[in-house]
Amino acid sequence: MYLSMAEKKLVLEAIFEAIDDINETLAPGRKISKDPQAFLYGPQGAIDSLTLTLLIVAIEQKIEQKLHASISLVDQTTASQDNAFHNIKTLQGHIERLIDQ
Amino acid sequence: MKPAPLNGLLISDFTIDVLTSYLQNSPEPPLCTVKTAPFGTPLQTLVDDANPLWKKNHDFLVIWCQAWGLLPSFAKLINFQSIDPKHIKAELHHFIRILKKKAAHYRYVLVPSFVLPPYYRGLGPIDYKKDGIHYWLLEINYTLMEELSSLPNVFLLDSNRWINAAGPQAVNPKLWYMSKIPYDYTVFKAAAYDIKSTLLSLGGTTKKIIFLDLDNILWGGEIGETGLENLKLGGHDAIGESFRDFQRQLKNLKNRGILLAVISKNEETTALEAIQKHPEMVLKQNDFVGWRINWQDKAKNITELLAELNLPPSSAVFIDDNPGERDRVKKAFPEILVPDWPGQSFLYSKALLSLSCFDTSHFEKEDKQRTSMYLGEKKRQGLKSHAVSLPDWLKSLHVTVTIEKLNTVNLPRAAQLLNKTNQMNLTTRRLSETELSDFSRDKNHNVWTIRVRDDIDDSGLTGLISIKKQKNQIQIIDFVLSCRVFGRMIENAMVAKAIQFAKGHSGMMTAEYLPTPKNKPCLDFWKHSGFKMKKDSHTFSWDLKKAYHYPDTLIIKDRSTQ
Repeated sequence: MYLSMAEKKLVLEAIFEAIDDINETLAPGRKISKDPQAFLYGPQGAIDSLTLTLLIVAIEQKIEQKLHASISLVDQTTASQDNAFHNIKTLQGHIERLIDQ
Repeated sequence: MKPAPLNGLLISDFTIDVLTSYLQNSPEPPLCTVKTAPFGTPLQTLVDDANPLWKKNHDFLVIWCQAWGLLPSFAKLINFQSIDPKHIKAELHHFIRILKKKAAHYRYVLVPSFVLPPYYRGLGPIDYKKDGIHYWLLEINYTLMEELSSLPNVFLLDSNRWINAAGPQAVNPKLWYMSKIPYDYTVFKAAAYDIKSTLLSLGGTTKKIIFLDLDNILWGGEIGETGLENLKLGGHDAIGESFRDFQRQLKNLKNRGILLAVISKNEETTALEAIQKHPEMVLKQNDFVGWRINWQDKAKNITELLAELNLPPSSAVFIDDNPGERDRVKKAFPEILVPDWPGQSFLYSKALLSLSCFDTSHFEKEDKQRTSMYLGEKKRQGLKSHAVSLPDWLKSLHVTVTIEKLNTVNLPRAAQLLNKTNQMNLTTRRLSETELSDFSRDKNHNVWTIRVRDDIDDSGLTGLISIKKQKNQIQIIDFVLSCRVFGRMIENAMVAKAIQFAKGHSGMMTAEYLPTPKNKPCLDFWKHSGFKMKKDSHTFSWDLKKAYHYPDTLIIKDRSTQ
C-alpha cells in the first residue's frame, strides 16, 4: 500500500512543523533550513547530534498526531540504508517508507 | 538603550542544553547568556570552588536536578531498597548547605522543585503514606521550601507547571535513552518562559495596572444597548457566572496591589450607574483608580490616564474583547502588554491567571494598599486644584517625611523599591536584598530610606538615597522615589538629607545621572535641583560649603541618627 498525495503532504507538514519547533531553540545563524536539498546531518550537515535527537522525536510526535502512525526514526540500519538524515527530501522518503511498512 | 544580557549558569544531573538554548535564543526579555555545567555532576560542580565556571560573575544560577540524581538515598528508595530515612534528610541538608553557601555569590538562585515522571505510580494507593516514594518527594520539596524561605535571593520554582503545560508528551523515554534528556522540548520551553518571567519580576519589571474594557469584559452584553437589567452578570446563568468570577479574580489582583482602571467606549453616566447599581458587580467604583468612559480613541484615553497616575506605558496591561481595539493599543504603545483575549467569557479567568506579568519577588503591606494610595493621590490632586500654590497645598496636607537608616526591617521594601522604580531613579541600579545590605555595611557608604505620610494616607516607604564617600567628594549613588509621591518636594528633602549629612566636608557632592528609556523625570528634577550641571554631561555637583535646606512645606522626622 502506498501513501496518497494527501498523506505525503501531511508527512512534509509534520517535518516542517517539527523544524519550526526546534528552530525556536537555535541561534539565528544555526536554524535548520526548510530547503528540501539542504544538508541536514552528516559530515556536511548543519545540525549537531543533540538537535538531531530533538528533531527526530518532534517529527515522530507530529507523524503520530497527523497520520496516527507510530514510527521510529532511530533504527540505525534502515536509516543509514535510506541515507535518511542527509536532507529533508531523503528524510521524507524514509518516513514514507516506514509508514508504508 | 538595550539592556545588557543577564549571565546565567545552569547546573543539572541531566542534559540541560535545550533549556540553555531556549534561554539564549528565545526573543522574550530579558536577554540571557547562559553557561552549562558539565552534565551529571551537580554536587561535584557545586563544591569545587576551583572550577573555572565559578570564576565568571553570573547574575543567576539555576540548579535543576532529579531527586534520585542528587540524593543517593532517594535513588535507593525508588529501587525499594531498605534505607534509613535519616540518610535522605542528611543528604538533603548537605545539598541545602552547599546551596546556601553558593547563594551568597549570586543575585538570584532558582531551584526547580523535584518531580517524579507523571506515569510513575510507586506503591500505588499507599505511595502518599509514610515512607512511600511520593510521600518522600513531598517531604524533600517541603524541607527545601522551609529552608530556602529565609534566603531573599533564592526561589523554588514549580516544575510541575512546566510538565503539565507540555501535556502527555512531557516525558519521552526515547529522549532519555538517546541523549539523557528527561523531558520533551516543550517542557524546557515552558521552563525558559517561567525562568525569564521570574528574572523579569525579580528585576522589577512587573506590570502595575490593568486597563479594562466594560462591555463583554466585565459583564456580558452592551450596557448602552441592553440596559442594566439585561446584562449577563452573576445569577443562575453559566455565562453570567463566568463574568462574575472574572471580576472576582480581578478583585483578587487588586487586593495584592495591582491597579484597575476602565477604558471603555460608552456613555459615562450609564456605565458608572451599572458599576454602582448592578447587584452582581463584584468590583465597585472605588476598586478603580481611574476611568475614561467616552467615545474617544482608547489610545488617547490611555495616554491621559497614565499621565494622571504618573505611570509609564510599560507598567500596563490592556484587556479588551475587540481585536481592533487591541491592535490599536498594541501599535500605539508597544510597551503595553496586550494579551490575545479568548472569545468566550468562560476562559477569561484562566487567561488572566495564566499571565506571568504580575509575578513579584515581594509582597508587603504597601502593595495591598496601593489602590487606596492612588485614590488618596486623586483626592490630593483635587485639593491641589483649589490651593493657591504648591507650597500652600503641601502645607495643607501636612506631608511628613520620615528618614531612617537602612535596617533589617526596611530592607525588603527598600530592595523592592530599588528594583521596581524606573522613572525617578538616578542610576537604575538593581540589587538583591543581600547586595543592598552588603553595600550599606561598607564604612564609606550610607543608605537612607524615606517614608511619606500626609493627612490623606500613609504612602509608606517610597524613597531611597545612598551615598559613597570618596576623597574629595561625596557621590550620590542611588536616588529613587516612587512615582506615587513625585512632585511633593520629597526629592528636595532627600537631597537636603544627603547634604546635611555631609556637613563639615569641604569637597563637592556629585550625582551622575545614567539615562534609561524611562528615567527622564529624574533628569528633569536634577536640572532644577539647584545643583550645577556639568556642560555636555549628566553630572551634577554641589559645593558642600553651601547649605541645602529641607523644604519648609514638609515636616521632617530624621530618625537616621537614632
